Amino acid sequence: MPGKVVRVRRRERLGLAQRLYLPNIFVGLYVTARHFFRNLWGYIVGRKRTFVVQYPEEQVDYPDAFRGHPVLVALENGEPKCVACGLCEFACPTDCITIIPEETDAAIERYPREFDIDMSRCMFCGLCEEACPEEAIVMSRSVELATYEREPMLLHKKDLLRTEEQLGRRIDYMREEYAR
Amino acid sequence: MVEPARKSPSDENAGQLPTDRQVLNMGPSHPATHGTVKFTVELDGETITAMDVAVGYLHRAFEKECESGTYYQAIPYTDRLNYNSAILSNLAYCMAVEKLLELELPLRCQWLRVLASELSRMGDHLTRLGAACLELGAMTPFLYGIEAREINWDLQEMLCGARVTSNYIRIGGLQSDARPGFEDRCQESLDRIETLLVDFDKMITANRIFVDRFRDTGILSKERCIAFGITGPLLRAVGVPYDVRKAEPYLVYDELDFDVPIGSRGDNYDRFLVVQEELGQSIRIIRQCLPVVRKTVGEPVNVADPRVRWPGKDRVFGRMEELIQLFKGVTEGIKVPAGEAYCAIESPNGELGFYIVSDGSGKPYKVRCRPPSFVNTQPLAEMLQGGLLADIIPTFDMVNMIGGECDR
Repeated sequence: MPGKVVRVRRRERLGLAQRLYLPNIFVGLYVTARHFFRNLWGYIVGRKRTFVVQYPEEQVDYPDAFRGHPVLVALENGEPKCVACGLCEFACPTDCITIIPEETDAAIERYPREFDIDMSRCMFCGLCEEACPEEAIVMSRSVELATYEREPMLLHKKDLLRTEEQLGRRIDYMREEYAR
Repeated sequence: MVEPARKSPSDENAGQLPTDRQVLNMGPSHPATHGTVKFTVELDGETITAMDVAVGYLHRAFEKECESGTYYQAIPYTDRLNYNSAILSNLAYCMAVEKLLELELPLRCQWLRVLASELSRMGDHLTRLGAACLELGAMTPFLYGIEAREINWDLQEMLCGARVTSNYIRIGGLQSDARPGFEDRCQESLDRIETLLVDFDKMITANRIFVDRFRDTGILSKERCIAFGITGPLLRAVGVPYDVRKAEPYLVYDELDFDVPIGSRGDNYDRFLVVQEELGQSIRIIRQCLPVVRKTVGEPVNVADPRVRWPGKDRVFGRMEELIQLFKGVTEGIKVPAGEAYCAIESPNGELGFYIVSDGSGKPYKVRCRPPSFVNTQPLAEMLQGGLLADIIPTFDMVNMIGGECDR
């Protein structure tokens, strides 16, 4: 096995420059000033190098893989794509999904009468999405869920429905990554 | 009548002031201890004469909770152990289950796992080094460290979909493959992290104030370290070259070229230098992983066994067989053969191990985590005995106790 054991270099005796404090102050000033002017230049020419984002006016673009809170995909008629099989309920580690299924005479004969996700329990793990056999529950790109009360944290079917266009990026990601 | 001038007590007992030992309570929620932990310190002036560390404030029954769900459902909980390096906690758990299943993993999966775990280790080390400066009041190097971690976390987010709670490793594979362009982004980010580390090094490593504060504080001898069962950078700082990646290579670590840094005295300064050197070694490992990851694009990252890894979506949508396998896999959980297994990996704090007992059903019978934070926190009182009050916080930082992992 390549690689060896190396002993770290301790500075048992500091050099004169270090013991005098003053030269080190200038080294520190040089490093910080360089950062300052480089960041300033970045602002001037419009190629920002700093990580500070003026949220909420400015927002960062999350990568494709980003997991926001789970939502339901709606069909063109506005009904959920979900067939109420309950696999996401089984997969969820925190039991935050509640589904009450119902049957109809339509072409897709099963649908969820109620589909609630308790966002105060959801931990954005994405196991529901991985388990879903219908591509009906997907992780959105939205994370802004803060409320003043607990009640609005319980999201119902009508709050969760999103069109396929709204979720395009995530659905493309899923088709590529979960195809295996 | 003139009153006699009153003598002040200091005139009378000059040099023999009757002083009492003072007991100071720090925590459980102290701004300087990043982690919910309580120190009861007995002080003689500013010198610590006795100390008691109380842990357990973040106990949330992780081990018991694992028993209530399937093997898959425990993976997101492992994220919450060491939240600085969640991928490594995922990895340790999944590898323990894989040991019971006796799985042979695809090559690309192994290399990606190594890459992801080294990224995770870097994130942890950067936090520890950055915070070490902050404990001494040095804000600027802390910000450089955190900026480097930010770049690192952006990479992790690109890979896993979340910055902290990665939930990336799966039993028999990975949640997803690396996205196209990840390797280039990784290369570029590593260069940026390296330039920041140079600045960090310039500012702090040879700084006299820093060296004076860190040198010869929090010493623990080699014998005591081994007696306490300490692992990780703390053990390497006293000069024991024990690294699970070398001692018991897992994944593809035996093919990688990296060094194990050791210290000599085992004080905070040695710990700092060891961690700093390990950071460089992690970058070196990732650089070695990237060409392999580039070369193996398109190869599978999951085992092709639907009894272990849920079948892929394209097959689930079109075929009955796979759909049934998915339903069985999710509702019953994967069937792990009865038995027990312990698997340890090198986490940034030391040996992170999972001991799993299976009774052959879809749920683990017992999950036990060997948290390095808990073991490493034990000798904190001994390390600080005779030290100064102000040394508690830097020493605590170098021990890097993570509440989530320590208390489980």
